[in-house]
Amino acid sequence: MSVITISINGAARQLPDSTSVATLLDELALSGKRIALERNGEIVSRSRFGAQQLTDGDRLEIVVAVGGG
Amino acid sequence: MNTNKMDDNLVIAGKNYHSRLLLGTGKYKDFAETKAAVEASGAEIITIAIRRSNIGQNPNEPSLLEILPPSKYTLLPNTAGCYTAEDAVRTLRLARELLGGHSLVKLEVLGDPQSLYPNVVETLASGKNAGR
Repeated sequence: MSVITISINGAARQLPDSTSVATLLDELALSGKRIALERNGEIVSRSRFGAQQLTDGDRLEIVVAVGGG
Repeated sequence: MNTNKMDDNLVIAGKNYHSRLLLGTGKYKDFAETKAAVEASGAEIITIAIRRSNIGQNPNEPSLLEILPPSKYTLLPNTAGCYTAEDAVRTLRLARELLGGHSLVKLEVLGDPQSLYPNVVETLASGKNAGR
């Protein structure tokens, strides 16, 4: 099984090849949390988390709502 | 206090608001204090910020959206912290996804990090693109 390197919120992370967005979120303990996710500048809707396979060099941004404004 | 039902509701996009106060959620000690302040204020429109999630830290930390549920409050995602029109519009697209399609926002593009004075030109530019 080969390994891919992706960037999550600017930090590099190595994952097994063909990891889905849903699997990654599970590993990050973010499954079911109120987050929004962008992959290479495009928003990935929640319903597509399971179907999206990550590939080497992907840049993910994961955001949450925080106090501010 | 306001015991009389007044008939001058604030109406935005067909939704009636009994309070004209818009309240921010920055600088509070914790979520409990935020919640108590929002409830005490009677405000129904609350501004929030969108930030990168801290990966791997406090996985059980509650979400602000659990404290202030979008079903109860009109949440205005704020683009403060953005220094370009592009960044602001991107932040708002993420906010719309986060809030399940909600499209009312607080739009501003910052110019100066010290005074937080806005960059008017970039704010205008982001407004032109935000509706797309």
